[in-house]
Amino acid sequence: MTIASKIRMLAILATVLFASALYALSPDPLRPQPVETIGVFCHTGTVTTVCQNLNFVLEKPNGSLHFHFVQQPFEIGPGDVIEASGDLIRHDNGEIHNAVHHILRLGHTELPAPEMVPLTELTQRRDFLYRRLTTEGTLVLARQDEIDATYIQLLVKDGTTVLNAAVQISTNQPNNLFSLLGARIRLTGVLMKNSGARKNIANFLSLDPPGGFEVMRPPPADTFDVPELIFDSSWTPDEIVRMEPRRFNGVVMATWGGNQLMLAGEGNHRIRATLARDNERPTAGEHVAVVGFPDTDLYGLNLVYARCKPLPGKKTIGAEPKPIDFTLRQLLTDDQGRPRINGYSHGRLLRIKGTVLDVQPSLALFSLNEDKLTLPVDCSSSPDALPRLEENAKVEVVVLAITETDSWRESIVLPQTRGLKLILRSGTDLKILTRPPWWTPARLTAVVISLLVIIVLIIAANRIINRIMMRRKVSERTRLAVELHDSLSQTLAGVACQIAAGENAVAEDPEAAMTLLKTAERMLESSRTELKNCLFDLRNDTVDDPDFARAIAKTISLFKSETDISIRFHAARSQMTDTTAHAVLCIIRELVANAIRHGSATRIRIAGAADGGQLRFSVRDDGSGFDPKQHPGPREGHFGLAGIRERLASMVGKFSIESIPGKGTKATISLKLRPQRTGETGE
Amino acid sequence: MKPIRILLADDHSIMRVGLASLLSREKDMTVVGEAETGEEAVAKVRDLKPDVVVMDLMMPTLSGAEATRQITTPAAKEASENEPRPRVLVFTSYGTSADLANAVLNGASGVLLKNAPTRDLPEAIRKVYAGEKVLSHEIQALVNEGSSTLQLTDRQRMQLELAARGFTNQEIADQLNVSLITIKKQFSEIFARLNVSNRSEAIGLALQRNIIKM
Repeated sequence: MTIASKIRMLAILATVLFASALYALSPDPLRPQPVETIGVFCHTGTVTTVCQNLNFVLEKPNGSLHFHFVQQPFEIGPGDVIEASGDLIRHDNGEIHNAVHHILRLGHTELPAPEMVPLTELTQRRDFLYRRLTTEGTLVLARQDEIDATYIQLLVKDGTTVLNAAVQISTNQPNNLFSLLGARIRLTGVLMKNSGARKNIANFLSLDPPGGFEVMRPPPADTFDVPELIFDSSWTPDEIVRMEPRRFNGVVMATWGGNQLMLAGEGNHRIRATLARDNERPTAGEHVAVVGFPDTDLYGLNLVYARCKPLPGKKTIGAEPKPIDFTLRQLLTDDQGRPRINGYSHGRLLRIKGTVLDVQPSLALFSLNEDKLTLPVDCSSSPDALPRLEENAKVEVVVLAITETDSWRESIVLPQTRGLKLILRSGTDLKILTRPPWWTPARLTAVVISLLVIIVLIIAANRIINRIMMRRKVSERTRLAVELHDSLSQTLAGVACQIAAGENAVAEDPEAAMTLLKTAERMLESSRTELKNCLFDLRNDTVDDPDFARAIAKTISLFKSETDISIRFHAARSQMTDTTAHAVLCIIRELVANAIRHGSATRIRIAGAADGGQLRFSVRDDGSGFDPKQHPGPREGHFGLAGIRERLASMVGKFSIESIPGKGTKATISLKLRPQRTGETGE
Repeated sequence: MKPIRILLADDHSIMRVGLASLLSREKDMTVVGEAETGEEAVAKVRDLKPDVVVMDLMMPTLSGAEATRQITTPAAKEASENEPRPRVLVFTSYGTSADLANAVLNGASGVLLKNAPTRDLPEAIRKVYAGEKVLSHEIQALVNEGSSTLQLTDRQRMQLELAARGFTNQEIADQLNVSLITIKKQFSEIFARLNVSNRSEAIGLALQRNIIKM
């Protein structure tokens, strides 16, 4: 490991430590922070309860007060007579606490016998808060406190009233409590206000550590050994909700929402059950016994705080109810199309067709849509159906319809309907009628957009190509025009002058006239060759050939001879402008033509290479050669080499020719390269 | 009589040969030299001191028009003003009206197109030698047309004059109360009209042609 990486590691470590220190030192943002001290207090009284070593209640002749320990808890217990003093503190969440700083122990006394208060009354009167009381009810639930594991939460029910009580485990046998479900119990403790996370929940009874709990009637030996629920239409809701636990045997029609059951029993009776949270959930179609406290809502009997156990044997109660064909419109509107929930559907199996509007696997539901009406379908008990669902698929489902309403309570004048729920019992109840069309609006949009993009790209590409082609054409035309102008029109003008000179000479000096006209003839010959070459290039696209060696081969293919010509040319066509390429080709052609025509060469070597912005190439032959000093020039009617020099003059090039009579000729040319930009006209 | 000394400036060898053949048949003329490029023409004028230069416009390295300017305008350092400058006859096959006008403005005494009857050339040379202008109606029209494009507007002249006094583009823009972009645009227009490629060339040419005054 290098020193640098060590330093880096140390730096990271230091940063992490610093950050954690900062975090540790920063105040817990969720804990209420004291804002201001609004006063001081000093109270004398008897301690009735101490909660979680955090707070305690002092009973005074004129009422009870609640205190919070500050810093270390004091060693006090119920029955202690104390003087407590401290500050009255307002917290940032608005709560005002008595924060105790000093406690003076004055003595100990027997706590007075608590007042006996019926459960129903206890929850309805405010002045019981912080008072030590005794009450009675049936133990419905016992579970470990989710927030503080040293406590056990109890749920005690009497009629419709449910009270929460808390007891510290260390002072009671928890096993005992769990086995007491269904027992009639008497509770003694101080009614406390929930605080912190639970501050908005109802009050709870903080039980005396010893003797706060007394069994008045033992629980049934078997939880399920309770009277069966009897359906009697003469019962009033009030009578129903005050009943002791009842049992219902039936087949699970559907389960949903984690702990909800719909059961079908004998005599076509249907009930709902809300299972206690810790009870295992049965599956649809299972034959079960359910025990719970009877409750009722607008649509029938329910069992709450229910426990459930499977019954032996695959008993079916009557025939599986036949699903009824329904439409969402029938479910949600009346004959005139006004909104209305069809109460008839409650607890029945419906067969509904519709379109899947959307699927929400995280909520285990999908929306069924038909005719502008939409209802969610609960798939919490049919997770196998979810992967098969696709948006816009047409489906047929067999669902259980549940109209959810508030439970009946004395205090509620009119229980409210929460809405209609459709429950898909299992994946087999989902039939996909038609798969969604491949196009969804989103896909269609995507396809249309990509098509548009492609079209635009094609148009753009086409334009660019056209422009390049156009420029190439223009460049080609320009080159031809320049070529024709530079060579042919000039040549013809020159020939015209030459002939005129010849004519002038005829009378006085016929011989001179002859020479002049002979030159004129050579001029014409030269221009004929030029024209021929020009047309050949035009026909064979030599200049446009991307392979320059091939272009050279094409150019010299004009000479159908037995000569052995080899080409070694290492320069890419792209390094040259059209004009340069054309010039190089013309020069090579001229040199090869000379070698064949005048030198009768049998071998010609054409070699070239581009290097550092310079193109150097040579044409060498084994022909008869000539004496460069006595070489006939333009005046004698030989324009070839002059033509080469002319071409090179405009492109900063050099031309040299070495030749010894009888030993062949070597022509060397070098010129400057300028790469051609796309679409650019040659020069 | 002393023959007219002629220098042929043409990049095309056949053309030069033809011209030389034609002119050497004229008893009052002698071809003293040939030049393949504009530069060569300027150099050979210095060496050979011809009376008339037959000048092609399209030549490598230095255009015929520019060569004409250098030949007809005595450079400051160069010898006496008295020394006669050769006359230039533009003999060309091709050229835009601006090219032709430029050549004439640069001091060419005459313009003859190569597609004119061949026998017109010796006559044209004689006329130019005698100090006449050789401009056919057709050519005159072309030159007029070309020189109109070569003329600057008052505003362009003003701008160029300011540039000649050493103002920057921004200063010119401020003085003329226009945007910098307009000034730049105008300059490229000016360069195009004067057929030059940069500011100093434009200023030099404009001063020489009395387009602007310092």
